[in-house]
Amino acid sequence: MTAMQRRSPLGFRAAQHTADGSTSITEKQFEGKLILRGNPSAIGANVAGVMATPMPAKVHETATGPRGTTQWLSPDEWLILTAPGGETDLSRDLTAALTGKHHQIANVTDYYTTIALSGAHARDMLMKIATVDFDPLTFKSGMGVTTNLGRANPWLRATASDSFDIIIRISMADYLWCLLAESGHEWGLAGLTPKGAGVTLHLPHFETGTPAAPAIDPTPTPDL
Amino acid sequence: MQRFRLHQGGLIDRSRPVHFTFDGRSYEGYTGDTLASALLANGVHMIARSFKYHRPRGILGAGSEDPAGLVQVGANANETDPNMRATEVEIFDGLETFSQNCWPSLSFDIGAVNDLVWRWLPAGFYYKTFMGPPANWMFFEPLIRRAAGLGKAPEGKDPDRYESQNRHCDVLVAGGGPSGLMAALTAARSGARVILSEETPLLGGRLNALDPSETSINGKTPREWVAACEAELAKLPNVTVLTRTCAFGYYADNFVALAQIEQDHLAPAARDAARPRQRLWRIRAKEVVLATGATERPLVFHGNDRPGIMLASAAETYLHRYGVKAGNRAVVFTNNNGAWGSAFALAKAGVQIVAIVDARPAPEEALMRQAASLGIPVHPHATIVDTRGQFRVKTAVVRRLDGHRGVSGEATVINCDLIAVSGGWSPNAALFSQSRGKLRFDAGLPGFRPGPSWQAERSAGAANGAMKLADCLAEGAAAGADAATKSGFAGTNPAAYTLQQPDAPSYNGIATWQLPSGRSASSTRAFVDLQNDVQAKDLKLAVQEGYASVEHAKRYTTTGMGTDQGKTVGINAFGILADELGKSMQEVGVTTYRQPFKPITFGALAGQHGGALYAPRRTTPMHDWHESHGAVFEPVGEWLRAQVYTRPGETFASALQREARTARTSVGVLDASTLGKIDIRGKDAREFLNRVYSNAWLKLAPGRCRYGLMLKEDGMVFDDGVTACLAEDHFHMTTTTGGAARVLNWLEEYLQTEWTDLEVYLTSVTEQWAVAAIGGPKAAEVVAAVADKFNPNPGNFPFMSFREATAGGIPARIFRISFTGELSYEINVPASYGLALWERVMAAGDKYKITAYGTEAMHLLRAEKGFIIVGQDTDGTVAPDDLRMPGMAKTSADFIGRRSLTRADTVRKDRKQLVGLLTEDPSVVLMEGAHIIATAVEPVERPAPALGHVTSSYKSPNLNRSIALALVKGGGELIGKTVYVSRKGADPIHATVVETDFMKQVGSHS
Repeated sequence: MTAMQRRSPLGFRAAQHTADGSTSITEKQFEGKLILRGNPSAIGANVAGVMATPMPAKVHETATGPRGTTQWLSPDEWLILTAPGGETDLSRDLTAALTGKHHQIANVTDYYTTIALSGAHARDMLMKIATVDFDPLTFKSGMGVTTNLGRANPWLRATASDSFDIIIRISMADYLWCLLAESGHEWGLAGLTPKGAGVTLHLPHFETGTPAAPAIDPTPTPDL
Repeated sequence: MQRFRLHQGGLIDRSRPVHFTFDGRSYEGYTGDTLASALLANGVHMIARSFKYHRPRGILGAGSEDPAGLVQVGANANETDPNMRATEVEIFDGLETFSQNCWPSLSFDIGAVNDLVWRWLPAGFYYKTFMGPPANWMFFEPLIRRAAGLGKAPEGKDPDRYESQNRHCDVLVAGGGPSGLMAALTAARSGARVILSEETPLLGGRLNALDPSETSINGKTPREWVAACEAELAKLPNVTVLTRTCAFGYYADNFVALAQIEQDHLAPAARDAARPRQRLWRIRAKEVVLATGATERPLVFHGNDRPGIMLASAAETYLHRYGVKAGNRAVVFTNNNGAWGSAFALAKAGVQIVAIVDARPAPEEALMRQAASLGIPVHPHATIVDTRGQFRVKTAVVRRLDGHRGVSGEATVINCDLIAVSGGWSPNAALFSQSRGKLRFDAGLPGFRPGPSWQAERSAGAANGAMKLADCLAEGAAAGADAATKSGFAGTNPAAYTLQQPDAPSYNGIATWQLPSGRSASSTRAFVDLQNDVQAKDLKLAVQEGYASVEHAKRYTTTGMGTDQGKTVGINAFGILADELGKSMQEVGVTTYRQPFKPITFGALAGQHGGALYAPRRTTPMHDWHESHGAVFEPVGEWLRAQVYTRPGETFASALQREARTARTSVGVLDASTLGKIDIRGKDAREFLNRVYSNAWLKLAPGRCRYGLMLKEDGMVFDDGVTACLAEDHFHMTTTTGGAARVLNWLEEYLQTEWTDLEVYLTSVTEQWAVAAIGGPKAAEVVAAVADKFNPNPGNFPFMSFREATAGGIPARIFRISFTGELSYEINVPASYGLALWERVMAAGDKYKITAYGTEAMHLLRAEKGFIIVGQDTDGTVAPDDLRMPGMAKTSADFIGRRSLTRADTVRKDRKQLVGLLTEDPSVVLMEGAHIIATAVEPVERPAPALGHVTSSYKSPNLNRSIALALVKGGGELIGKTVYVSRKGADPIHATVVETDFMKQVGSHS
């Protein structure tokens, strides 16, 4: 029986670098990800105990501690990022700490992947595809946001002054990867074609000259 | 040979000549020229034909206001740009330009016969053909389309790149003239984030059209002062200056769109492939300063549309900015003091001013003296009543005004090659108006100027009605200070300046919306709109025909509806309407200004979001396998799902038959990863499910699954799916692929707004799990081989239950659920192992000739079993009972939609109900969507009375015949009866109404 090989959604893409070498797009594979939901006044102290850092309390806040980064998503919802493989233990520890308190922990490690965009042109690239104000005066290191990049809707945070981690659902990861590459075109990033762009579609209704569907199917039935 | 080029002066670079063509003829200009200035330098005035009458058109303005000097740019059919304003096209070596809307040539244009029959092409001609008998429009439409027109659209895919860019700023300044520069400098010095956009290639605006020897700012020539401003702004990191960038749209919340020309003005060899051709800037500004200047308006008199008739300010711009004389013998025709200055400037440059015609009874003494000293004949209180010259004006005929809307006295015929006209100035309030600001009429201008603001903006300078340079500078500085202060930079003081200028009388314009000619009204041809060929009398006709509102008259006559958006039209048209209606200008008002201010390419608007990046195509972890195994894909929402897998030699249809047959005779596998999945947690999760599903959920034990229907409040089916109980307080819900996001939103909304009493949390886990649905007689064998130490036999693992297991050591959730009626398992693994799972299933199923099947076979297989697809067999008007599925509407408890199920309409006996249809001839496959009727003969009555329609229809390989599902009125009562399925061009098809589970009634597998 074949072994179960683990694959990351962007594993087939090579890291991208601008011509000046300053800015790169890379995938952080298999970063551990949990969604935590609960009433912050009820679970805050317990979660802070596990994460060894206070929970982010309001929009745009993130908190990074020894076990990972917590990003505020909504008043009762957080994204927790941890080292690859760390999600199992962290989930177990949080569950133990929250026993008896109404909460939800969902492992979404495989739901999303992390695209790291870093370098001098990172903010300019984001400004081409996002309406959020990415001016360093406004979007400071450590700040997180849920936004649209083109038509993808990732979570994103500034990990340093010119570095961003973008958490994107795996089905849209390659679209976003290619859109970021396109945004870096003027700094020498190569154009890429997203997965699924060249597939064959069966759209008889849209093919000119073809009737919508034959009233009587002329196709011979194969060996029945 | 640039015969009309001055030896010195202007902002062009005489050391860098540029060669370009117009209509195949080669011309020389200089770097810094527009197409218009370069053609004028070569003595070419006529460059276009008008839209309707094909009348010769020249260059009226010197910027984006020019109405009719439109040309086609570029010879390449894929890259050519139609309707480009010659006044804005910058020339480069090798530029090819063409006249448009004329055939065979600009000077001999067959279409000009329209002009001979102009009396029969009145205002509202289009509209009248519409309103006449339908055949009229059918007859005229192709003729009109051919005869009237503009340039040619490019044919192929646009080879250029475009980008859009978002920016936030404290202060956006639209317009880089004297007011805009002062505003930007003031705001920038405060530290505010400033963006300054200027439509033309050069900052400075009207300063570039002034005689540099006469004006100085801060002790510098206007040009030096502009350069100093530019240098200061360039040094500030908080400032972005964008030239060739038009602020074209002012939207809600101070969102302003700018279109930047990045490379159009460069020779192809000089263009940088890495950069876009044009860039859209989407600006969100805290405060906006509108310093968009003013537009000089033409005068409306008989014969006012010939090439060689130009705005006085444009003639001055060509002189001082481009070093071009627009003519040698000029008549200046004005109703204000401003154009006198233009006349003197032209005279100083060597243009012979053969007359100044002023419509005002008594022009200023000082001006009269200056004209006399220059030997310029002056005709006060006079008008031009006619002009002549086929392709360029040759003579002007002048008569005195009689003060009673007529003319008197002898006609003076004046030979000339240029008529410089000025009907006063209109503040350029398009952006202000787009922002929802209200314009007010200022009789002193006369004209409309910005009134109360709606958004966080202010107008400054000429855009605000200030017609003196000193006022423009002061207003700009004050506006910049105000904007910076309001955006959070308190205490910003207006930038200081000193100005030296010769004493000029104030502008003192009067209202002359149309000038008399002494001719009969019907034979007067005085144009208001030079692009759309609207004459003054067309507007009067519109009023006579009852179009009293300015908005109606505009549409009826197409006034200002060309690509120029009537920049030189507006107030003259409003004035003529006001006169005709006997109302004040304020009462008549203005038409609505809409975005865009001028035409913007679709490329710029699309930006980088085109082609393969137009929208995401969501793919599953198994996508690569599908693609490499002949999959044809089906878009399902944003998802791409494998529809069938064609093997060599197979068609779509034959592959489908193979897949559907193997899935019942051996084993098949479907990629079901796209189904929506929601993790539900909390002590009230079970109660929550009981409220959202129409069937009963309270007794579902851990480890068990159930199919559920969700209804909207109206009682109609909204979504369906199987939900598993993982633990007492923990459930795993599945939804349809397309419904995943809206179901989650819907449930979250109910939890947050209606059921705050329930302790339940929801989280989407749709893509956490990759899912292989394995079904068929050999499914258990395959699952046994895929999962580790797992007994999938039905005796051990009952239908509608769920187990945790591992597959190759990877945690898996296995559900025994079926969408085909066969023995079936859905194996869920973390998505990063999805492809590995799939490969493992394929390997395990190899000895059973396992087939991957796509969504088409899945649809077919479930139809054989009579299972519905929400959205295909339901359409938002189908209640649970209409599906004739027993037990789907509980009576034991409340749920969303319950109360609607007892409405009189919902309990009607003749509601459309889901039934099966078997055609009399088993080889006939009905068309999905076909109408079902009660008679064997197509009724004559239209619309034909229908019983319902076919919702799903297939050729079933397992039943060896066609099958169909249909919604039929009172369908349940019709079981066993014959209905008829309508089709085009042939007799209706006979079909028997049956129950929906075809597997059960048609018999065993073939």
